[in-house]
Amino acid sequence: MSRDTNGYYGPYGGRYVPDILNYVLDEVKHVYNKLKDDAKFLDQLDYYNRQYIGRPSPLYFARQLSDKVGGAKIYLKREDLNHTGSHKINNTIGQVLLAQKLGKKRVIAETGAGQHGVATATACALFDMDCIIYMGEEDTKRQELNVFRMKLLGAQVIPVKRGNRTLKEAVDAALEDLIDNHDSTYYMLGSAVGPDPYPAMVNTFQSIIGRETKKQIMEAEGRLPDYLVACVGGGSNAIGLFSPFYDDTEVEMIGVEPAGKGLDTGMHAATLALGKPGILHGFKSYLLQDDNGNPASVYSISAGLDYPGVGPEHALFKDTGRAKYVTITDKEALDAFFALSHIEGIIPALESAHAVAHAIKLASELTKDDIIVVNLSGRGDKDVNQVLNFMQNNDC
Amino acid sequence: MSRIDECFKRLDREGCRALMPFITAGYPRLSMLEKVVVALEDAGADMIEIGIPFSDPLADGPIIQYANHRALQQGVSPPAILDEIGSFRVRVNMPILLLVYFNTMLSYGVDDFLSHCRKVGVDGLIIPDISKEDREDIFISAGDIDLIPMVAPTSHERIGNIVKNGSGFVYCVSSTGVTGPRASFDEDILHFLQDVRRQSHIPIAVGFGVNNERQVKYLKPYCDGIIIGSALIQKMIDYEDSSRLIEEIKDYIKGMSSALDM
Repeated sequence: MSRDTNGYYGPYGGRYVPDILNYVLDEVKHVYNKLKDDAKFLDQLDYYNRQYIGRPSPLYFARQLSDKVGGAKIYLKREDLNHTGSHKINNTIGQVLLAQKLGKKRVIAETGAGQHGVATATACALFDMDCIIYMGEEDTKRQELNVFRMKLLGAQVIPVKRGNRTLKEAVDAALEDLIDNHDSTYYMLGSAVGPDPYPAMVNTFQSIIGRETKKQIMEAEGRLPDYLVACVGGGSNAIGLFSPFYDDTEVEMIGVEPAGKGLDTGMHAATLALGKPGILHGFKSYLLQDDNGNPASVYSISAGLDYPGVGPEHALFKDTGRAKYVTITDKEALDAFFALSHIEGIIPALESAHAVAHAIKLASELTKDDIIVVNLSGRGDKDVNQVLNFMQNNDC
Repeated sequence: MSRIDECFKRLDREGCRALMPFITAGYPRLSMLEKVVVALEDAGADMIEIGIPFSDPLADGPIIQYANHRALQQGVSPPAILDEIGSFRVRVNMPILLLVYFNTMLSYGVDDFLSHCRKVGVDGLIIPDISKEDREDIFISAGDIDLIPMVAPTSHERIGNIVKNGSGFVYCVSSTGVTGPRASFDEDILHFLQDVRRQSHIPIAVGFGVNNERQVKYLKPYCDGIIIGSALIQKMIDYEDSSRLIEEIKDYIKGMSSALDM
């Protein structure tokens, strides 16, 4: 459950949009508020969660990895086993039901790595909606396979050719489309970002991750974990895991941001680590920006973390200290990518590999009595081509 | 009374409407800003809107995005733009307004930005992406600088509230899209303008999509001013490298001005 007050998380969040969009956002918020406690809607959502997505996803004790690291017990929340291969589908099934209630037939979305694009295209196929996905041209190259998957699912993929040609520009293009076509169109935002009510809505639909985890760890260990670890780009998988544990203050929450080639190289996307409060894409949060307030160019090996902003709820968690945010470099993420593949037979998404990398570091400093839950937010099939290229170019 | 108020009063006495061209600071070059502004005033502009370039301009279409992009490529910064305006302010009579995305102000520091504006003689601010809450705060701290409220055909019952925390004139967005030329306007816009008029104590001006003399004539009975943005920038793009740039934009604005005054 989201903890916003009128769309704000402390000083963050809100709605920084031309008034044209207030009308659309009010409409979405109205229906969302009506549905979120509606028994019939929740039954419907529960049905699709179980029968279509395959929930609950397992909470798997990574015994081999834990033994190898020789410290805390590492559990993996297997969101990679969801239909479409990541946590993104939790949100798109929720939002597509909402779009249906709003009577919209045309759905647009942005995507970085393509996971949200695939999850959106899937939901739209299932509910017979027109689907248009905006994707930075650079990302369409990094994630060719996902582009093809989206097309197979009947979506139209529009490569965005401005600026850095990545996720930020894809959101720009989607928001513009919404301003132009709001009568017919529903914007299915994929992360815990954007103007109110999106961060709250995404929290609601992703919180199933944390709710299940809580139940599963109680069954497995009879107690709550000591640490939760999740990667943070916009922050949807992290907020989904963290949110149900908010009041359990003994559980430490750790978000992992991409340090790219290093925090001192300028080639990273560590927004909470190095950004300052600002506004982008209709909400206030930490933002990586230049001296004049323009969003900075960001970089990460994983397209899904390559974003200069971050969800407003994470900004508040950072300020209040409820969660801690750390960084992992490309190199460390790749090491974890290989390690999890070899040791557990699980190929993680490069995004999730950032969380795994930090969990390995952390576990080695702890004892066997400690418990870490890592959100394995997606599977790495989409990344194998990129990793192969990277190895060939770097003589690995 | 602000310079913007005086301008509308004078035009009203003369039975005229305000012609308000929009340009992007730093496009084609910051050093040309004075020349362009003076030329537009000579051609009949009554006020000028100067856009501060921002990399992700939520309300703007491809043409103004391009101008923003080109300006940013040259490293144009908000303080440099303000200083440049200050350097020629005495040579321009008409009110000068800035269109600025809110993060530009936040990054500069809102109070510092406002005092820099005051120092160089900026008369009004248009902030397309400001939140309801921040609008209320800034309306108070802006003081003598007019904070132009922006409303759209979908604003409906919000119009009264938006206009309440504003002064100068109401910026009426003609249609429900981003900026850029439109083929024509339908009757809905007239109902919208009448609706804004009813709920507003200050003059109203129309922008977004106005690009030809026919549209100007169609809209003028229903408003106190017309904003020409993308169409003018497109002219500047067409003559970007030409020595005829200034003459071309002058001719274009002269045409619009006489359509407005006829």
